[in-house]
Amino acid sequence: MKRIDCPDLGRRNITEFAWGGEVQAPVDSDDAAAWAAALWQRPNAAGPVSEWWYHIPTSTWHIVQRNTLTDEQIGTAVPT
Amino acid sequence: MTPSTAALPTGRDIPAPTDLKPDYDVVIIGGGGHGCATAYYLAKRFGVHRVAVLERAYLGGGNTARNTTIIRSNYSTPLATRFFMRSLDLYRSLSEELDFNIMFSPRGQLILAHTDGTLRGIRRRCELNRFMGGRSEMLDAESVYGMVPALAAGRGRALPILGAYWHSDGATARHDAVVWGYVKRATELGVEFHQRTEVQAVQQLPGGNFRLTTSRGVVESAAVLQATAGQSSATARMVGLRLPIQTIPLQAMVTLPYKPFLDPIVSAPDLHLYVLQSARGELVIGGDSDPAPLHSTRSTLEWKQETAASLLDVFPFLSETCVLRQWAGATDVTPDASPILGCTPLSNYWMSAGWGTWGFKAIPASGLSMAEAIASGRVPALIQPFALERFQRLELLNELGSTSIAH
Repeated sequence: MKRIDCPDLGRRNITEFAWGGEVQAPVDSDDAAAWAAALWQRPNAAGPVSEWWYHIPTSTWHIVQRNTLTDEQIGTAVPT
Repeated sequence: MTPSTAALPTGRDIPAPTDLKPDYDVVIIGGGGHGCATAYYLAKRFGVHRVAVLERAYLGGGNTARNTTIIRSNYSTPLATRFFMRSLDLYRSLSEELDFNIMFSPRGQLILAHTDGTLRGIRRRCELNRFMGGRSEMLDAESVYGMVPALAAGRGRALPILGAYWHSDGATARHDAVVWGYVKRATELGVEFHQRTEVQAVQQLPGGNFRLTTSRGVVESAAVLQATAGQSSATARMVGLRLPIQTIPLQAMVTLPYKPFLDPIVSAPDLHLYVLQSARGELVIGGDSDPAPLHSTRSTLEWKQETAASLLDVFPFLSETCVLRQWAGATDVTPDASPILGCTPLSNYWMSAGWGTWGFKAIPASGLSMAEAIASGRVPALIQPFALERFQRLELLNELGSTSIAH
């Protein structure tokens, strides 16, 4: 089974995780269009991306760098 | 390197390659079901004949070739139900319309409930579909076993069937034939289909026309439709648009052929499973989407393990079967599991995108509606709810839970 590197627990089965979307900058605006863009528009990039992943059993979020062309995990990080 | 079109076979139904003309009234990017259907209806119904369909690879080779051929109308909102009922109606007469056998097979769809929550969900969809004029009814478990005796083999297992939703309008059709039929008849009406012609850049000129740089030269067009399911984000990026789309693989597999034992399409949302028996006797099996976005059409062992386990829960006698073929399609999924159809912020740049896991069954209604929109400049009421700007207005639809695929 495919596994994901978790910064706290090491390599765990992917079924323990839920994908949480690409990491993006927080919205610093009261503009409705800016919020709509941040909520819905996605780069949907083919290549290396940073994503949120949720480890379900321990209720913890962390960041995974993954290549969306090859599905290879490049790195992992604890959110600051 | 410019790809050569000389090596392409020139069959009965696919037209021989020609040179690109310098300009067209409409250029359609993407030669799948949606692009080819729109081209056909533009020429047939709306008198627009100077149309070119530009396809990077070969016609019908993307998600039109990769879906599991299911046609149904039992969605969760009245707006989507109305749209998919129209599409089903057009499919019923499509072989006659095109004088081309698309092997439409009205076999019905049986959606099984293994939990109370799913029973409530499918009852709601059943009542909505019936209210809108579809043929739908709820069945108890005994009636399910009567309709599909093979399902009784799974009786007494850990997760019993509580009831089912019988959607007798459900059907399948030969997916490739849908594209071939549209292409054959559109060609007779003057539409050009250019395979191995990759669009590399799209630029709107000061006059409003578009200049498309392709691997086989430059063309201009008054209007452009993008119909590139699986590549929608990349295509839209060429004109500076960012879409509410994530591309997620959806896998499928096919078993050894068996004698006919399964007439309807059987779906089991609780097990993330749907299965139908093809005209060749093979079982076509679909399941859940991949857990994360990916721009690849590889298939995985873990998907096959999970889906095979679900299959054996429903049909335990298949434990010795073999997988003959496996594949994945790149599905462009929107946050509200509904398509993006109609105009864009760029005048005369039209879009047929966000087809996620529901694109094949929408081809005729989408093609006809988009042809009307492009020819008249007015988006027909049938597809107005699917406008791209619904996201700006925060007027999202909700079709999550209308398939056996988790959202």
